[in-house]
Amino acid sequence: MTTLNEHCEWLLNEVDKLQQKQAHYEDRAFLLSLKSVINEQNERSEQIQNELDGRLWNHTNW
Amino acid sequence: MEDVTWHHVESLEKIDVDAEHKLLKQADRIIFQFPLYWYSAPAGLKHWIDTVMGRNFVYGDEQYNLEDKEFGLVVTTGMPLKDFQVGGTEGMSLDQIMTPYRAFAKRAKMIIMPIFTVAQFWYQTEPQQMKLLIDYQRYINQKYPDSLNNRQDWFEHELTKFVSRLSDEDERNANLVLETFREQIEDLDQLNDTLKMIKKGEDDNLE
Repeated sequence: MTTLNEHCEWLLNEVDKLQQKQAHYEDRAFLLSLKSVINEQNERSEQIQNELDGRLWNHTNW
Repeated sequence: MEDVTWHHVESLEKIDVDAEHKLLKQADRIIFQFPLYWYSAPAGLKHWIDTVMGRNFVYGDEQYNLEDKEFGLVVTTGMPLKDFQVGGTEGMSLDQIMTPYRAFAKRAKMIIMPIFTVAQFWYQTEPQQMKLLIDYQRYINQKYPDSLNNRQDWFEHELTKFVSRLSDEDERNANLVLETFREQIEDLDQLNDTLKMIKKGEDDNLE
């Protein structure tokens, strides 16, 4: 399960608001896809953090 | 879209081979876009390829005019994508069906991109169609390959353009969005660097 970091949550909210205000289909589509990338960043960041934890706590390397 | 030439080969009355070569030479990425007609491109595109892609132009005399250009295919079909796989109704994948185009691109020493498929467009929901539109734009002018890094760069570039088009009131908020998005990119870069460093340290310990 991925949890949202603070910045990411704020970003998604703001992009959502912007999206609702746009009259052009293409702009709404762009912002919708932007949200996917923000979610992807969040997921990747969590994966890396977990991997870092795993590697730092690997006692065989101590 | 910036720096994109849309060239409809089926509507050319007469094919001026020199002019077509000039157009091809100035492109960084060449994309054939067509609806799937009996597992291939319609006759118009095939005719254009046979006329324009002469041996001398493509690989003759050790001259590769299309070398290192990226080659993409956009294929639309009314069949569901799941039919195109081993064991599916069609029994083979689009990758397999599109082999002749890949063989051509390989001969021309081009960089082959994955196929962009549009299957059953009218059966898609609005959010799916919206996503498809942006994926298509990225296929046309986002840096290859489609990695998260390259995706982030593309979105940052487009977001900057989008923000500059907004009215003053919206622009302020949107600028904050852009800044935060950039920070997210930087944070991720830093995390990646840290991970690389630790991995390198572990490798060094093994030596």
